Amino acid sequence: MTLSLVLERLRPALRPEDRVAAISDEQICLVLPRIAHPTQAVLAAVKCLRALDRPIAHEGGTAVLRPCVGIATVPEHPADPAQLLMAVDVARRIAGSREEGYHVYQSEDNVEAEVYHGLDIDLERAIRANELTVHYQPQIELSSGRPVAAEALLRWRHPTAGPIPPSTMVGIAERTGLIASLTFWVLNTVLRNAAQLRKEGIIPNLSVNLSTRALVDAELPDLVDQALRTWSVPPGQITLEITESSMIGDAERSMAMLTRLKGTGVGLSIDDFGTGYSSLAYLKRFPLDELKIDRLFVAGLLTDRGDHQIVRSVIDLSHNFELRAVAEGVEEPATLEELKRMGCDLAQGFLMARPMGEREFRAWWLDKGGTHA
Amino acid sequence: MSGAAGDHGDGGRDDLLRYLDRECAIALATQGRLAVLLIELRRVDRLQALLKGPPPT
Repeated sequence: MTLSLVLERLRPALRPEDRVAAISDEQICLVLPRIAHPTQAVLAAVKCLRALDRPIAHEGGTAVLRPCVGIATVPEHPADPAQLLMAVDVARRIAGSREEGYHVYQSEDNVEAEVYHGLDIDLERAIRANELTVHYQPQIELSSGRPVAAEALLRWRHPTAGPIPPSTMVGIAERTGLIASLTFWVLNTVLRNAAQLRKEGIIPNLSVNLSTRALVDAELPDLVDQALRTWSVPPGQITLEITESSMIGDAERSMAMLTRLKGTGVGLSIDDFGTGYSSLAYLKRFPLDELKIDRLFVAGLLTDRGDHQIVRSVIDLSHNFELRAVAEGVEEPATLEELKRMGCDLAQGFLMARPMGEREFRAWWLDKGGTHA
Repeated sequence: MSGAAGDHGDGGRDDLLRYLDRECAIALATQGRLAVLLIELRRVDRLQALLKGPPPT
């Protein structure tokens, strides 16, 4: 694909006085002089994204682009040309993880860029080299006190930067187009572990978190199905966790994706429930199995009347919709007792166990009398 | 640095910096406003190759 085809697409979105510079084969810089307001730059970015929305036919085939646009304006941002380019590059990196595909540079954006500069390339290498690990945090069935499930949590210890927070890792994966690869790696690893545990008669339900960007990948249900078949793990043993915010962006598309995922036989859970803006209608329409009560509400359960009412409401709501209620972040015995009294189904948190590697998890599970064939 | 939108110059970083230097100065002197947009053309087919992920072991 040549840049000339891309520029041809962009031409109608630009004014005659706008200037274009090709930075590399994959980056184009636009300079828009004499604009009236910063929103004019955003409008131009949206027009460019729309212009590149359709596949581009070229001699070597057809290129499908998922472009993103970083934006910076003067005088709002640095007027020094080098600093301005750095600012727009930071904005471009952040835009890659945004649903809308663009981002206007903010002064506080620099922090993450400086701290994690260079990790983009390293993550791709880490995925390929199997350098990431999955840890498991058990979930206890409150009625029996036995472990029945666990949440899979991705871990990456960078050789020089040390442990990288999962949110940063997912952010990098989303903006660099690695999220599908990362999602598949996690699914593959969790299912491989599940298959090994099954051979020893250990059968926990395992939850895997899906990022918002992973949910818009039309191939995700096929990947899930393929991974389940590869490892011969019953789909009912796997639960996919999604966040509220990933559902509400485009309800119809979310509904279609969740229905396809549900069609593979896996369970579906809404993570951090209560922190977003879910409509109750979604709970009725979406094929869900579980609501996870956000740890913030669980932390205030015994001290904050509002938090107590929220937890109470979410548990009741779950049961009214025939869903499991799972409390996250349980750290105090009294909190666990109160959740049990309130009829919460499952609980996870440091009180019961911290996230642990597969080998340690296996030993812990057997010691605590977890679900066993 | 290319000319008007639609021209297909190679554009170098140095040319771009010189152009930006001039336009920033004009914007500040005239109390005008200038926007810079950086478009990254992420190709999906590269991602498709990565979709294969690590082989089952």
